[in-house]
Amino acid sequence: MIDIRIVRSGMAVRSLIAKFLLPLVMAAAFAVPARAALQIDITQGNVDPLPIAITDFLGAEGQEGKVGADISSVISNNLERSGLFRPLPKASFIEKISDINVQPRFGDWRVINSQALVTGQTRMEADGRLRVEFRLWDVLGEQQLTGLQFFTTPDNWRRVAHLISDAIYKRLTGEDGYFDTRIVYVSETGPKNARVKRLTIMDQDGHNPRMLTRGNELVLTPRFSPNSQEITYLAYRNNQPRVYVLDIETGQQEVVGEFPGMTFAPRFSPDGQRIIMSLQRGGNSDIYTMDLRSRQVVRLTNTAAIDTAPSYSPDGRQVTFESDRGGSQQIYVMDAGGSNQRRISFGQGSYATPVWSPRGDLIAFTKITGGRFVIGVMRPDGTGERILTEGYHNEGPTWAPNGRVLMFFRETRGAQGGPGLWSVDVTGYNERPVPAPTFASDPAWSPRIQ
Amino acid sequence: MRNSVLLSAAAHVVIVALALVAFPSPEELPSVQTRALPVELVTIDEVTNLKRLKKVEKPKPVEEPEPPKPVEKEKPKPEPKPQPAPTPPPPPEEKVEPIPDKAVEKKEPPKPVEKKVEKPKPPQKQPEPKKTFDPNQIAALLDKTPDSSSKPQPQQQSEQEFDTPVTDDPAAKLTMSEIDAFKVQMQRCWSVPAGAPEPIVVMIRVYLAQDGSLASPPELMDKTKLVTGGSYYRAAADSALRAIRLCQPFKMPADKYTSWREIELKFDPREMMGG
Repeated sequence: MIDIRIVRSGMAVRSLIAKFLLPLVMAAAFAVPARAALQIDITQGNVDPLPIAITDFLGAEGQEGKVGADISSVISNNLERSGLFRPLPKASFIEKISDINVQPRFGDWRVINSQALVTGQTRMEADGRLRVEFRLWDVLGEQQLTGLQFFTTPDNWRRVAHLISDAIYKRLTGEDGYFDTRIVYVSETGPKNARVKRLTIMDQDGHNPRMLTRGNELVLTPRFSPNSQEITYLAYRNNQPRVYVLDIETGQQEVVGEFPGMTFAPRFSPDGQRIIMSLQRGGNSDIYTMDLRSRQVVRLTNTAAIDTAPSYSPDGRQVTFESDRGGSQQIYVMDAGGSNQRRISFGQGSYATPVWSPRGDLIAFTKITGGRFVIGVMRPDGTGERILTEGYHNEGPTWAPNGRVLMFFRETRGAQGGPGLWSVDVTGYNERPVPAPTFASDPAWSPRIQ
Repeated sequence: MRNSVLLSAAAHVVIVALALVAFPSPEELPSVQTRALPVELVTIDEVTNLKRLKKVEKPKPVEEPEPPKPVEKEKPKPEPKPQPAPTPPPPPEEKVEPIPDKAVEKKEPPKPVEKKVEKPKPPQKQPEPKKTFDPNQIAALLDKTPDSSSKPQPQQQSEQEFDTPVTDDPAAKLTMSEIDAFKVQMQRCWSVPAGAPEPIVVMIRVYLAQDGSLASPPELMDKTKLVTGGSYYRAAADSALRAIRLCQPFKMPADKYTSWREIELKFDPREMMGG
C-alpha cells in the first residue's frame, strides 16, 4: 500500500522509484511461484516426551485380567524409561475401554492431553496358550496406527509386553525398539575386598536375573554374539586371564584358543564367525582375530605399543581400538585386515574402550580427563565428540541394538559403595539407573532377541 | 631546608587561594535548547513487509517499470482465489477391523493405517482450477486504464500476477512478527521425533478456516515418501501432523484471512539436530 501511494503522489522521488522500487515490487510478484500458499518453515520444536495413555488390557476376572494389567504396566514402564514417552496416570482416564474392537471416543482422550492411546486385551485360548492383542491409536488424527496380536505360553507374558513396547516405540519414533533384549553383566556380592563375581543375565528392565557362572573365578568383560545365544568373556583361571565362549542356553563353555600369553578384551565380529581380541606377550599387546570354526589366528596390529579393546564396525569392514603408540591412550580406526591404521581422537585426556554403534554412525568411548571418567561419543572420523555423562568413575559403554541408548557402569565411593548399571541416550538428556538386584559392572547389551 | 619549607608553604597558600577563587564561581553550564522530535508510531507490518518484499526481489531486477500496474493491483483481490475452499474430505470412515486371526505366533500388519493416509486427496486438484480460470478476462473487464501505455502483455505474466494477489497486497500479507507468532505456537506443539539418524524434512499443506482451525485434515505434500521413506519418514510425518492438530486453532489476524487460508508448512529439524 505504501509503495503505491508514493508512486502516485511523489514528485522528486518519482523517477527514483520508477527506476528502483517499482521493478523490485514487480520482480517480487513474479519471483513468487505461481501458487498462493503462504510458506512457513518450522525449524524448532520441543523434545518433550510424548503423552501416551496406556489402558489396562482387558481380560476376564482372575488370571486374564491380572496378566492384562501386568502387561500394561510393563509397557508403561518401558516407554517411560526410554525418556521419549510420558505415560499418563490411569486415574485421569475418562473413557473406560470395554471393547478394543470399537473405536475409542477420541475426544475423551484429547481432554486429558493424550496424543496416543494403547488398548489391548488378553485371552486364554482353549489350548492353554495366552493370546494378547493390542491397538495403538493416534488420538489427534483419530486413526489406528498399528495393531498386533501374539500367542504365547502364559508365563511368557513379560516378553510379549516387551514386544508390544517395541512395536509402539517403532511406530511412533521410526526407530527399532530395544525392549525385547537382555543384559549380561558381572554381578558382585560380598564385602568390597572379597567380591564374588558372577556372570548374570537379565531382561533389559532388570527382571528375570539368572546366574551363568558359579563365582569361583574372576570374570570380566562379557560380550554378546550377534545371534545372542552365546557370550564371550574373560575369566581368570589359575591366575591366567583367558577368553571363553559360553552358550547361554546350554551353559557349555570353552576357552578360545590356547595362546602362550594372556588374552584380553574379546568381542564377536558382526557375522559371529570370529572373535577379535588382544593378546599380550611381555609388555606388548597386539590385536588378533580368531576364526571360531577353523581356529585360524590372524594378527592385525604389530607395534611395540599396547593395542587393545578392539570393536568391529557393524558392516565388519573396520575395527576401532585403543592404543598408546602416540604416547597416550587414544582411539584408532583401521580396516578389518589391519591396514590403514589412523588415529581419530585428539582431545584432552586419554581415551579407552571404543565401541562402534550398531547403527554405525557413532563410536562410544570412555575418557579419563582431569581425574574424571567420562562416557562420550564421536563420529568414526573423530569429529563431533560429545560428552554424555561424567563422574567419579564411569566405564564400559555398551550399545542398545538400535544405537540410540548406551548402558555403562558407575562406581560409587566409600566402603558401602559399589558399581551399578546406568543407561543414557545419545542426546545425554535421559540418564537413569538400571535396576539390578546386586552390585553390577561390565554390562553387555544383547542384540534383539530373534 | 628552611627555604624549601617556605617554598612549600607558599605553594600551598597559592593553591588554596586559587581553589577559593575557582570553586565558588563555576562556569554555568549552558542549558541546551532541545527541540521536541516528532515521533510517529507506525505498525511494524509496514516495515517488515517492505523488508520482506525487498529480499525476494533481488534476484530479478529485469522488469522494466510499468506505471499502470498499481491500479490493477488493487482490484484483483476478490476473485482470483478459486481454491476450492478446502472441501472437507469424506469423514474418516474408520471402522475398526478386528485384528485378523492368525494361528502363527507373530504379527499381522494392521490394515487401516495405509488406507487412511491416502484419503485427504481433494486439495490435490487445486492447481488446475487456477489454470482454467482465466484471469485475463477479468483483468480486461476491470482494468479501466488505457491500454496504450502498456505493451501487449504476454499472457503468462499477467496470469502469474493474478495468481499471487495475496503477496501483492501488503495489507493482507502476514507480517514477520505475525509469522513468528505462528512459528512459536507451532514450536510448542511439535515434538521432534528423536529416532532418525538423519534429520527428515516433512512438507504439509494446511487449509484453515476463518477462526484459525483446520478446515480440512492437513495434507502431506510428498506422500510417496510414506512408501519410500520407511518408518523414520512415517514417524516424522506423524509427528508433524500431530503438532498441527494439537495446535489448532491458530491465532491469526482475521483481517488477513486471504493470506493464510492455505499454508505450506515445512517441518525441518536440521537446526535442532545439527549440533
